[in-house]
Order: sequence, then structure tokens, then C-alpha cells
Amino acid sequence: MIEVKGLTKTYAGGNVKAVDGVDFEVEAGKIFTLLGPSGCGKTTSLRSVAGLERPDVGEIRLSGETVFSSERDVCLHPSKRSIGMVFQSYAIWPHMTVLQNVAYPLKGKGLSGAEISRKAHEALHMVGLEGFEDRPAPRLSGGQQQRVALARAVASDPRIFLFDEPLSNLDAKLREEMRGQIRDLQRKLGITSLYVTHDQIEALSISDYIAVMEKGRIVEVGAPRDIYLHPTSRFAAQFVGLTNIMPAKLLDGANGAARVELPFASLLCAGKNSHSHGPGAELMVLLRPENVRVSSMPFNCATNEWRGRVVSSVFLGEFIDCTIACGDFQVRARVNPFNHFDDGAEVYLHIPPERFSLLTA
Amino acid sequence: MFSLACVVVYLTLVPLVMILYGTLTDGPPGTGANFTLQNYIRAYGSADLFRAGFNSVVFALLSGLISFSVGCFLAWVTERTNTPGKGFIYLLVLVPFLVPGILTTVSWVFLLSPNTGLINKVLQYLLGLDSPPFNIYSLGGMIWAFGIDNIAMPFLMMAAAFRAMDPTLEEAASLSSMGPLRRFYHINLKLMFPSILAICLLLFVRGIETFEAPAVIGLPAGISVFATEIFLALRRAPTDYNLAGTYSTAYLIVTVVGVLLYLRVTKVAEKFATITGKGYRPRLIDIGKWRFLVSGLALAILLLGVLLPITMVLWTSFMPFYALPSLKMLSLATLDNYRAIFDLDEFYRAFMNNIITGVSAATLAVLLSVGVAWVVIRTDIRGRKLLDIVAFTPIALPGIVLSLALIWLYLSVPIPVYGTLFILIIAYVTKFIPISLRIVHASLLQVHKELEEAGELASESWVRNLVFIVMPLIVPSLLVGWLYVLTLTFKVLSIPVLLSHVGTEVLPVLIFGLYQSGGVTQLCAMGVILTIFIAVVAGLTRLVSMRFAIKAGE
Repeated sequence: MIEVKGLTKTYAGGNVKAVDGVDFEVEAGKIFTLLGPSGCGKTTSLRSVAGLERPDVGEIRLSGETVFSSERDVCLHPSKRSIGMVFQSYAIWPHMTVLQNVAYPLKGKGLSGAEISRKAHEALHMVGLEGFEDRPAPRLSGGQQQRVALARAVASDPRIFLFDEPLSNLDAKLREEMRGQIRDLQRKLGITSLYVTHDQIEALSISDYIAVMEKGRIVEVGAPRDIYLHPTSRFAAQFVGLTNIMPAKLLDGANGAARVELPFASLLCAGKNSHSHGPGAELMVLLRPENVRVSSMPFNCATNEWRGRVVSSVFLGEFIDCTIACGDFQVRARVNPFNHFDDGAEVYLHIPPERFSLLTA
Repeated sequence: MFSLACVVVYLTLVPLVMILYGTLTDGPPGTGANFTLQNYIRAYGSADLFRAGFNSVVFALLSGLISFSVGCFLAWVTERTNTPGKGFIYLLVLVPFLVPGILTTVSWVFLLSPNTGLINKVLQYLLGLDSPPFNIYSLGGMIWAFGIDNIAMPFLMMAAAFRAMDPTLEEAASLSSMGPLRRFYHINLKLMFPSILAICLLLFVRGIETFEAPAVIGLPAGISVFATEIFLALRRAPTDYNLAGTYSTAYLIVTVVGVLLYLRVTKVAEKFATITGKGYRPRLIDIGKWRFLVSGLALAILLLGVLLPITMVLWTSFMPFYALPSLKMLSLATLDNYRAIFDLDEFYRAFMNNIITGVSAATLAVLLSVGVAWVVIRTDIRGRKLLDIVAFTPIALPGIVLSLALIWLYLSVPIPVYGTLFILIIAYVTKFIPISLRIVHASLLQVHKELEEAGELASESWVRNLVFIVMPLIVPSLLVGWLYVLTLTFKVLSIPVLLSHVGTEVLPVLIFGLYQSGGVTQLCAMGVILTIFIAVVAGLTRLVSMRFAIKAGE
């Protein structure tokens, strides 16, 4: 279990707030991801948990033990925090063999030579690198180096795993494979993990919970599904995936079924939404491009059907990225690659009432 | 870490404070003297100091000009043109690293002395001249001997500057309508200007502080510079430590200004995008049929400037007495000089002293450098920048001044190192820390921070991480720094010339002694032995460092 309270870290003599009062809690055995653009403070937060960075203010507890507290002036050395960490650059020591890399953190912990060797071999077995023990570290592929890093992190039976953008140096195929391996290993060992990435797919696929960060603060925490489907902040909606954001005014209705007025049409909302305003309130409609249905024929639905004109469409293989003008507004939509629309064509849009969300403007 | 800072400050700043204290008192070191400004009145009131200062500056500027032009030309030839024979040029340029400066200076005396100089004799014979065209015993002679001996440093630095330049910058310019000369001026020259200025300033500082050429040529010719003026003040009876110290202040002002300018310029150089630390393959310029001429010119410079002096030393080392090369003399060639050297007890003693002091100093300098560089790069301890600057100050400390400062210090405080090998080790470490520090600093910057952080997660002991993770990663450059310092202790005269005594001589002092007593043939034999030794050590170190270099991929 990881508990972080009021974490603050400033740089440049207090002028730049890298982390600004961050609180979060990771339940035992879960993967918790800090997601955000570069410079949002996610890496600084992770490094503070690791002890590689000393925060100005805050408290960090790992499995109930306080490892950092500005109030009580506690700051444990990284090696005393029982942490296994995988770095962005893997940080495999190039002058050592695979086995030496994995065994180094075990040394100096009062273990016997046989014990060290057993644990190191066990860790290498876990990541599928048996037989590579004596290979010099630089003679490994990127994926293999990543697995050595994983083995090294596992070997000393840590109570916490930390991952600092571990996949960003791998190519797309390998990234997917390693993602699965990290997830499996974490599940198998049940070790509480903190994961940092700027890649939304990675965050969505690997995490139990995601915290979206912006400018040193956490703006939203939730399960991947909720973060993506029902974001409660404009930033999270825009950062995780692509979103059409449209201004709207609440006409009537309460939570569950509401009617809103857009500049060019009205819209019936039946999904979850997070507002508690009376009629006339200014809202935002958040609409994912894949939830817009497009057709050259009318849908003949009673509600939520708009007319528009195709401005441009880009063929991307998996889908066609269409930009459609509805009144003064341009709506992005993802269309099945077999459906082709000419630029300038008249089209009909249908927005299923439960597939978008409303947000306070 | 506090103790590290103390060691560095003690080595670099305490001697300076002592020498300044000395200039303000009226007695030799260690005596309870009174404060006075008399030394300054004496020193700055005499024309000697200003003449020496003027000579020093002229000597440094012009010899620097020679070193830079030749080094730069050769770097351009090997890095940027399609000239044939580049490998050979490269090899020859680096030879001066192996040969002690005192030896090449002596050799230029053999070549350009008015009465017996080989080049003078040959030119007189060929051109039918009545008088010898060159006289080594002049300011010009000193400038030439030192300038041409000092081409390796500007060569390497300019070659690095050429290599650090992104060729796409040039390609982009070649699309413009500028002519090739204007293009060269606007792109190459302007981009490289900070590095060029930095090299020139470094050469100037080296010229100001060198002792060998001023001692070997200037002393007999009666041309004094700062370094020899201090040397003479200390050799006079009674030894005038106070005056020598006061001379040093003027000397220091000049070198410190040079170094400050250098630091300023290198800061600017870092801002220029050309210096990225990334190695590019520069676009070779096809200079057509000119390439044979250029290649010929480069080889001629190197044959005359590097190979001829060494050959002359080699020749003389086999002669029963100093004589110009001829067939008749060849038949008189003998190994007697070598035998004499190997029979000389002093030689073994000096050699052993040199090994002991050199190896200890090189090891200590490198270890201290690792500590300082690590603190500067990896920690956020307050004052770490200051530590870097303090460790770099000895670069502005001429060997003679440093030695004098150490004499002051250890004659004043009850630490019994004066007259022992320890004072030499202390002097070498202090003087050469800036060099090993630059080398270690540069390589430590290359070590990815996360490699160390992974170590921090593994072990609390920073010493353990430094020894098992950081140092193995930079072994090759540690060895380079170590070797460089070691060879310098076998070559530098300006430090031991004041600090060595009977029993603690090192080889450069022995060679200088032989020169002063006229034993030039034995001097050459000893020089040859020394050069071979340095070459072997350099070769072995290179082999070892290649063995430790980490090879990426398969």
C-alpha cells in the first residue's frame, strides 16, 4: 500500500512547482498509474516515492511505514524503502553480466552467496531469461534489457514496484508484449505498483486506477473505464483520447435524463453525467469521435440526429477520421474504413443518448 | 564530502595564501618576520620585472600563434580534406606527447645554434652564406622551439571542433547564394570562433607558464621571462624568497586573467549548438590536385618540426661527443652513453623517484577528480560549483609559482615534507588535478543518471556505488587521465626544478643538470630511454583501457 499526502516539490529556488500538493493512495496489490503530459509532475512524484528526489513538503508511507515526512523530518534512503524500480532507460549496468546485474542489489543485505544466486536465478526464470545469466548486458536486445531490469526489480522481494515510463524506448510491437508481461508479473506477485507514463493506451491497458495529472496536480482519479468514458474534467477528457467539446445550455431534466441546447441543435442525454445544476446552467458536452454515427442516409431517430457537411476525411487504416461541419461547429468522427464520404457531402449524424457526458463549463 | 572539499582547498588555496603572506613579510619562510610593502616596491620598481613580463607575453602570444596555426592547419587537413597520408600525419602530430619538452628544446639548440647548428650549417653551405641565418639564443628561437613543440594540443582540440560540427549546417549554407569564402566565414568560422578563442587562450596560458624553453634557451641567452626570473631569484645567494614571491604575484595576475577569459569563452562555446558532444562525420572537401601539395606541406612541417629534432637527439645519443651527422661520425657511433647512463646510480634513483611520485600523484589526482566531478555533477550540495572552480584554479598556477608556494608553506608549518618526495607528490597532484578533472568530468557526464540511481536503490553506501558502478563505467577515461598525469611527471621540469634535492631528483631534473654541465650526449641517451619508456607505458595503458572499454551490441 502506498499513501502519499500533500506532496510538494519546487525547483529553481521555489519558482517552479513541479509537484503541487499531490495526494493519492494505492491499495495493496493494485497498479496505480500517474498519467499526464511531460512536465506535469508525474515523474517527480514517482521519484519522490523512490527516494531519489526529496520533496519539500508532504508525507509518504509504504505499507504503513513512513518513508518520508517533512513534518517529522524523516527521509529514508532509497535502498531502505524496499522498492523495486524499472527505469525509463532500463539502467542496466553495462559492465556487468545479466546475473551480476540482478544480483548486485542482493549483495550487502546479509544474504549468503548461495541465497543470492538462488534468488537471482529465480528472478531471471520469472522473466524468461534463463540461459542468459553470463551474457554481458550490452549484448542484449532492448526487450531483453527491459526484462533484466524487471528481474533486478523483482529479485530483492520488494514490497513496492515503481515503473518510470518503462516502455517508452521500445518499438510498438514489443511495447505491447512487455505491457502484458509486466501486468502478468505484477498480478502473480501481487505487489503494489506505481506506474508513470504519458501514453494513454499504456495507462488504460495496464492500470487498476489512473490519476491524470496536470501542472503538478492530480485532476482526476478513476478506473480506466471511468476515466475514458466519463471523464469529470475537461483536461482528462482532452488528454486521454480525442474529444469533441461543445458548449451547451441545460434545458431541463435531472441526472439520468437531461436535455441540453447546443448552438446548432438540441441533445438528449441519458448517460451518467456529473453536474448538479438547474435549467439554464452552462455545460460542456464531451463527445468521443468513435461515438458519433455517420451515414449518408437519415437515421430517422426522434432525437439526437444532426445534419452536417463533410469538411475533410483522412484514411487511417483502422478508421477514417472525418471532420464534419454542423452549423458553426466542427465535429470529429471516426468512421468505418469501408464507408467513404466525399468532401462536401451531406451526411447525417446520430449521437446515442447514453454515449456522451455532460460537464460543468 | 566535506573532507573532500577540505583536501582540495588545502591543496590549491593554502599555498597561494602562504605565498601572498610571504610577499608582505621581510624574512624567509618560517622566520618570525615583520609586515612590509618593501618587496612590492623592490619588485615593481625594477625594470627586470617589466622586461620579464613583456618577454613572457610576447613569447606566449607568438609561440601560441605558431602552435595554433600549425595545429589548426594539420587538423583541417586530416579532418576535412581528402589529402593522402592522413594516418601518418596523425601519428606524427601526437609524437610530442611522448617526448619531454626539455629534450626537444635541447634538440632545437643542436639544430639552430649559431656555431654548431645543423640547419645553420646546411643552409650556409647550400646558400653560401657567411653568417648563420638563425640564432636559437634569441626570443625568436625560444618562440619557435616552444611553438612547434606544442602543436598536439591545438591539433586535437581543433580536430574535435571540426568533428563536433553538424555537416548539415554547412549543407544548408551551400544552398544559399553565398560564395564559398563568405560561406566559410559566416558558417564555419563564426560557429567555431568560441572554440578557437578558447584554444588560443589555453595556449597563451601554457606559453606564459612554461619553463623548459626559457630555461634551456633563455637563461644562456640572457632573455628572462617570469618563470626564469623567479628561478634566478631563488638561485641567487642568499636566496630571496620574498622577492621571488612578489614576482609571482605579477606572474599570477597574467595567468589568472588568461584563465578567467578562457572560462568565459568556454561558457560561450557551450552555448553554441555546434558543440553537442555528438560526433559527426565531417564532409570531406575535395581539394583536387592541391591535395598532393597540401599533403606535402603537412608532411614537411612534421618532418622538420617533429621528426628532425627527435632524430637529432637519437643521433647525438650514439655519439662520443656532440657532432653534426656525417658518415665519418657514423663510424664512431657508440653505445657508451647508454652504458654510462645505466651505470649511473643517480639514474636509477631518479627513475625510481619518478615512478613513486608519478604513480602516486596520478592515482591521487584521478581519485580526487572522481570525487570532485561526482559531487559537481550528481549532487545538489551547495557550493559544489565553487569546489569545481577551486579544483580548476591550479591551471592558472605556473609550476614555478606553485613550487615556490609549497616551499613557503612547508618551511612555515611543522609538516616535515620539505626536501622529501611527498612535497613533489603534493605539487604534482595540485598542478595536474585540473587536467584529470576535465577528463573525468567529461566522461562522468556520459554516464546516464539512472545507472547510478539504480545503484542507489540497491545500496545505501555511495562509496560502494561509486566503486562498483560508476568507476567501472569510466575506467577507460580514468586510465587516460592517470596516464596523462603520469607522463607529465616524467616530462615537467618547472615543478621538480625547485622542489627536488639531492636524493629526491626526478628524471627531468637530471636531464636539466646534464644540460647545464654540458653532458649533452648522455642527456640525449637518457632522453631516448625516457621517451621509449613513456611510449611503452602509453601503449600498455591504451591496451588495458581498450580491454575495459564497454562494447555495445554484437
